[in-house]
Amino acid sequence: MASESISVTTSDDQTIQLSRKHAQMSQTINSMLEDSVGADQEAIPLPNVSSEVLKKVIDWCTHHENDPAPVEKVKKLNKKREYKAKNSTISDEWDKNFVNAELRVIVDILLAANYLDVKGLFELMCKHIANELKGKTPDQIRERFGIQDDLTEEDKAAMRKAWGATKNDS
Amino acid sequence: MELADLPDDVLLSEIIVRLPPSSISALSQTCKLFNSICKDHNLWREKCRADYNLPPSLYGRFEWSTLYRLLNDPVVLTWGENDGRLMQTGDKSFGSNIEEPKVVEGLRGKKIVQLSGSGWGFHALSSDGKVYAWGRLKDHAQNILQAEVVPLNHTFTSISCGRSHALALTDRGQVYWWNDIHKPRLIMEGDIVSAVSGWTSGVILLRDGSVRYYSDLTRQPAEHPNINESLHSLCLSTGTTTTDDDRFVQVAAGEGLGLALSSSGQLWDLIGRKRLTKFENANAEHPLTHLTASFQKFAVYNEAGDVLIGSSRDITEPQVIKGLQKEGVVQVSFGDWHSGALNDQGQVLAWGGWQNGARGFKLNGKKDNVEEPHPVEGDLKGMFAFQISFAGWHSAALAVPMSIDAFEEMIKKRKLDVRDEEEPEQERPRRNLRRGPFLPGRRGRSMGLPVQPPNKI
Repeated sequence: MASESISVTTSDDQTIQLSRKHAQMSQTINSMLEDSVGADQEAIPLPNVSSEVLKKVIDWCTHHENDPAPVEKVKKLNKKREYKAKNSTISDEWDKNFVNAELRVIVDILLAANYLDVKGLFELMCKHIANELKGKTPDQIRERFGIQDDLTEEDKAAMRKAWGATKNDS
Repeated sequence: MELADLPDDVLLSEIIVRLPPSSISALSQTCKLFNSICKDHNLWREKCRADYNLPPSLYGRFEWSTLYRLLNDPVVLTWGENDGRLMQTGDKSFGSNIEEPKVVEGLRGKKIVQLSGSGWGFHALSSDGKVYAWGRLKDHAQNILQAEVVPLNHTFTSISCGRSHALALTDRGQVYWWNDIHKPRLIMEGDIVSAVSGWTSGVILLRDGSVRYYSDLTRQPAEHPNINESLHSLCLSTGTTTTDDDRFVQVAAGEGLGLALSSSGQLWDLIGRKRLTKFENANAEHPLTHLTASFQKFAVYNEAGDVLIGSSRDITEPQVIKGLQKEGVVQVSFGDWHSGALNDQGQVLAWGGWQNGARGFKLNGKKDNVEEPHPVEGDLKGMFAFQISFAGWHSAALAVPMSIDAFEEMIKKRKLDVRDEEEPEQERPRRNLRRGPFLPGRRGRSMGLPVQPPNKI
């Protein structure tokens, strides 16, 4: 019988125990488990995820462990994502608190969720970043996201002309 | 880790696609990197689809971000036999043919994004998912002189007319059929990608790549389709090979024509159950990427700008129309005796018979048959056409002004205040309509879009 917990090794060389239920919420780990059925269960290496970020991922999985499974996996047809219009509404109050973190952490969790293929968490992080971008001027976006301004005044004038006047419509 | 560390495809397909145009504009003006990312062709193509209901079948390497900003008020133009089918002001007197493209004033402000010609009229799809119809679907029937809305409370995402019937697809994957716009009938429901008509027939493509072909939809659809196939079932029964993940991604119908194109570029005659290899092999380096059909003819396109024409009279033999090759042609459409093409510069070309003005021009003042494509002007002069529909003895085009400056000039001229026409939709780009040159299409570069796996419409 399969054990109820799974060991994983993070990028900072920590071994962390995951419940099987949480591990299976990651399509990446789930596939590794399916591929190694019957083999000795060694710790699964997760070289792209730090222990700090993995703990955040586990927090999210714990809160969402009883959610219905996503209808379909994140499709990677021809390694190209589909460009489909999506909303950015975050309705779960717990999720709203969860995303209240430093940008560095948000980006790290997003990349981890992408690597681990945890669809709900990945979408939550993308929605949060979209919401943070909405309604801001170029200056406000640079400040919020720490983007270095490498544009000359001529560049900016040309862009304003090409894009038209920028107004907030959110 | 910073925002710029995210892979471009995550930024575009998961984050930027969720933003309203003003925020995309703001992000693009923060630094060179984001300015370059925000110009992405597929992003704006999807914004055109999501915000304006522009059919995904619309094809062409247009400057989609500029088209998006101009889509606020597309113009419908019609020309040809004026017996009530053109919705022109002269309709009441009839008899006076419209010999050049002329704006249909009665459709201004309706935000039409797709046109489809029937035997004696047109159907059109609007941004808000309504289907309008004018002219008639049956010979000798009474004309609808001012466009009527098909009475169904659904959001339609595509419309396609045969000679005497129409197929329309809703955003919930329902296919409606009618030969009288007041009596629409649901004929199929499911994970449907497209439903296209041609003459008496129609083909429905499902997301799994299977196709249903109906040979006669004139009176009422048969309970079961005449053909129910997939690429793999055809390959299996004909001893042809393909890859596991290859499947049909586009379909087309016409008189005696049922065609399907696969993601690898295999072109199949569904009725004759055979591959049309002469079309596939015409340019070994560039597989076929696109397929359209009307009446007795079809057209296939590739990324190199080749357009080959096929006919139900000899379906296996490709014909080349002089003057259309490597010209960035994105659509070819056929009437009874006249034909038209649209290029990625937004220019409409026509050839064939004059047909009471349906060709759109006289050559040296003469109505004689014209073999080579020539530009069509009239009210299309100064406009960028992004779709055409030629049928019977009539023609139509959908166009936007050539530049945003020209757009404002036109509004001033027409004394039409678009602000009154605009719906209270937050994400519509009216606010961005200020200044900016219309960047011409990219003639000479790869003109076709690769065949994408079918998206949920």
